[in-house]
Amino acid sequence: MDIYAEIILDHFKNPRQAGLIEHADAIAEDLNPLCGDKVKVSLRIKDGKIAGFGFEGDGCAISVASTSIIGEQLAGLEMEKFLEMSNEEVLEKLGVPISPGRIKCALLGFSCIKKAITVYKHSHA
Amino acid sequence: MTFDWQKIKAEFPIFNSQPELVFLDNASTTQKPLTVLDAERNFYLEANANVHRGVYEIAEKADQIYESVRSKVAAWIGAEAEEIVFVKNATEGANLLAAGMSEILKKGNSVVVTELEHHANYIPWQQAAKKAGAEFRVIGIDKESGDNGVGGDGSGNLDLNNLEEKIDAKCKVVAITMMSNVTGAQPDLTRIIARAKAVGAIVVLDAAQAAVHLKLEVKKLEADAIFFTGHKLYGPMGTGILYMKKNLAEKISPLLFGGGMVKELPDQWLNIPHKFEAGTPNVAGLAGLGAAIDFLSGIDRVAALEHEKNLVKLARKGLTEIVGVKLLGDEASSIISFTMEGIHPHDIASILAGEKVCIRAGHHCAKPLMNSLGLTACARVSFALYNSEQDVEKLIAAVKKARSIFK
Repeated sequence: MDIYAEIILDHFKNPRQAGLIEHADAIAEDLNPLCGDKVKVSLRIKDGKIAGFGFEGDGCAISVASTSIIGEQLAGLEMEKFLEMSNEEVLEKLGVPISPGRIKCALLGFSCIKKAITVYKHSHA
Repeated sequence: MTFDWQKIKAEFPIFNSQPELVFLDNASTTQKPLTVLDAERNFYLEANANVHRGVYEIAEKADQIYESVRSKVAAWIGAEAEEIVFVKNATEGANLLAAGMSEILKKGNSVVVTELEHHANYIPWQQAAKKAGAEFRVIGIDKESGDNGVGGDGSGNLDLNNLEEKIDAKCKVVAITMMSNVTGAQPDLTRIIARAKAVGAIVVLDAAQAAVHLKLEVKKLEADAIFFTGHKLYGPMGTGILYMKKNLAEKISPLLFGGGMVKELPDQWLNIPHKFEAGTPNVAGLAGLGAAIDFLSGIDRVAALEHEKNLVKLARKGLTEIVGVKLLGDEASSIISFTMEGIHPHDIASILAGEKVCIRAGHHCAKPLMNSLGLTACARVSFALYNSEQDVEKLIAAVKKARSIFK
């Protein structure tokens, strides 16, 4: 399958959960210094579970679409479960082959959400 | 005279092993002709010994190769052999100069660079100025008018309207690129160097992009220092040249200390250029660089440049006909950077990669320029001698494919 499969183009053109949510419990931003892709995520956390998600992304189709695809699967997920997720699992969820040069783009949103949750955990420990 | 690119291309083995390759990332690095690869290999096969002080035959041979490349480089750019310092890349050349100058600069002095600089000729000077308490000044690009937001004449060249204020009596160093690695813009060196000389500043030129396209004549340029890398002129990676005028070279301290540069301890160094060459150098790579200069000396560079210009013209024409493409920069250069509406440069590069068309996307280590242009990234196509009209056709077809995917 091609990296620019319909799923990637669809999520790039119409990112789900686009825009930051109000009254977020956890926020983080990250950038890919190689290409300048930027992402900002916001999460609502309730009883250790992800209760809301929204993001702003400025970057390539891979970084925006991957954040959107992951974001779609967050509702109700325990934050610990999310933190246990590996890079490989995320790449698998995208369902398209990601070349080594684009892995950082594909994982930008994921690592940013991880960062937001980790910071939240520390401040609520 | 027509330029026989096919004959040239046949000298580059990578195109035999990968005949489909359309290599248009030459501003990043060029491919290597067989003579360069052979020269490196032959050094290890026939003369592998460390340079300096060996008295046996192959050590003398290694020395001879090392110093003959120095003389060859010197002759190629119209310098004296002792004015040529071997470094590992252009970045090291800039760092050597900036670190050396940071000990000479004083509070109240200023260092001037431009927005066109690659980080390699920007950050070392920013740091040198900071260390010395000197002022760091940047000559911006002309954004007043013109298309693409790239400047008065659309070339993305420098705004020299207030040159006399930027380069004033406080200025001790003017460090400037001869050719932007993003837009290909070539600053008006005659004017800038004349001004720098009028205030007694030293002039440092970054020739990383220019060395392969322009004939470097250091005496005519009146620069105090010029640096470039070997791997962008068909030579090996890990080879760089720093030309320094004798009086400057004698004034500044080495960047590296250690073996091969000491005259007497504690702190008397060998004469130039050897005081700058501590440690075992990349002799095999330099043998390759010598072969690269022979390669360049053996071709008609005027015809070669004409060939590249024709390809640029063809590519610019083809690209502008594609919906949403915006070209940046200078028609006269062998570099074409562009953006496309609705598609990120990295996606363009990925789609092109799928068609075996190699280009680069990103900020090209030129963030001051990218910020000034209001871009986070752009796609860059850059030509070399072995490129052809067929390469341009494949490029255009691949960019059209990108357009159709992201319609």
